[in-house]
Amino acid sequence: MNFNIDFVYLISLIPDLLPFIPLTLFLAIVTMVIAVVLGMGIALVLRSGIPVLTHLAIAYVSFFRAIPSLVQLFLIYYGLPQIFPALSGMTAIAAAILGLSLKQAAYLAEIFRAALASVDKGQMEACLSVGMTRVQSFRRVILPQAVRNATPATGNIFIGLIKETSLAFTLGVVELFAQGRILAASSLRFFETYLALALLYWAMIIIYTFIQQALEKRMERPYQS
Amino acid sequence: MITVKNLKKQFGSNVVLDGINLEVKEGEVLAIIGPSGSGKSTLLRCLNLLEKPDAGELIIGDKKINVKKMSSKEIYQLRQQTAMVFQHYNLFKNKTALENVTEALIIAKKMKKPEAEKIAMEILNQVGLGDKVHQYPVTLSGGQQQRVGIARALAVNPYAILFDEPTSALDPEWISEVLQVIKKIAEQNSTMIIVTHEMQFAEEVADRVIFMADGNIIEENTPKEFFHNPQSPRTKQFLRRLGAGEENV
Repeated sequence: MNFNIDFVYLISLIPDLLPFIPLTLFLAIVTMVIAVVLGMGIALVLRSGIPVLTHLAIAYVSFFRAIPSLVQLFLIYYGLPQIFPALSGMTAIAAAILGLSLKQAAYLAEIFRAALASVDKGQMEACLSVGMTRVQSFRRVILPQAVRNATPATGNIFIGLIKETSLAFTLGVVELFAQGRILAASSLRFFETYLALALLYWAMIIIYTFIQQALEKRMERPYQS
Repeated sequence: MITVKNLKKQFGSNVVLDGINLEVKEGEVLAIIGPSGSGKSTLLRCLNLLEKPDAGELIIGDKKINVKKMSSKEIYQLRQQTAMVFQHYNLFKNKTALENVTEALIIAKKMKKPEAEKIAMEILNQVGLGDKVHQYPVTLSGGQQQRVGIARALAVNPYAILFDEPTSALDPEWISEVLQVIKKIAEQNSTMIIVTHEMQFAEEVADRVIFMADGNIIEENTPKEFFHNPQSPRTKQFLRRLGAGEENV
């Protein structure tokens, strides 16, 4: 075994890696926003029970939860343009965002469906009984309570997503992980380089977890006796 | 006036309302009593269409509806004629006592916030919660939550208030404060329909009592006649059982 780990070198890598964090965060955040909107739409369809639409939503969730992210990214970036030549102009970043958000939307749809279902039915009845419409009730009473139910699990999805953005390197996007690989390949100091990368991902997750905890604490206020 | 004509409701093969006919005059307080499963809560929930009846006609104030062919607009309009107080309060958990009362005023009635808050404060004071208006439901006792529920219903100034077993979920210590509040409202000439298990309360507050069993109205009378001179064997049996229960306490 060789315990010759050069921590000074490891630290010297950080400034070379930091500039790539914005792209990684950009991928994660844009993907998340799209996935939340799409996931909410699918959850509402699942809840609606409208025959054909519901079956399509179930099929969607089943398919996108089943296929590996890598297969999906390749399918979109390399596969789709063969069928639809108009898509050959799609950038690797767009393909990564599209692929990851289609997948995360499937997971989020299930989380949102469960979060909506766990809001007491009496809440909607109370809204209707004082003359509110279903849409008003949903927006003002049901959704805020469902958001609180969904936040912990949604946060987990986002943490997973920050890490999954590293798959974008397979499409040629030079994000944080891809830059790490480039540095490792040129220095051949694989351990230090990948450890530096690992620590950076860890730091991002720690900061995000902190933000989520503060958010959850704020949202819990009405529910604490 | 509230008029119910031949109202029918089935859950699967179980007939819950077997053609109910009922009239409630403006300003009248009607108590509905009966054993569990007699259809009394379902009847109440059909009046604001939280349950969709299978057949029949509903007239509340100037809104008339045939339940077999009602549009969602008609449902919405009929619902605005009443407000309901629920057994489990059903306060909006994400809103303070004050917001619970102002919500429908601001969102459904399109009132300005200061105006809504003024009305809400008045009513919350009236139910004795003027000092709790900024608390969330979870911090209130059952009795306080139910009084907010009553305030919420009162605030929308409905044609009639529907009470669905308003004290059944309460700890015994909170029952009387809620009954007092309801009694006070009854004295203000509000039209009220109260499904309840509190016989003494029904006798004191109601102008008329109906007894339901198996989806039918079995007996209908003034409280005095109803409780002291019941006619039907079913009513006699029901009241006797309750009496026996009370003696055992």
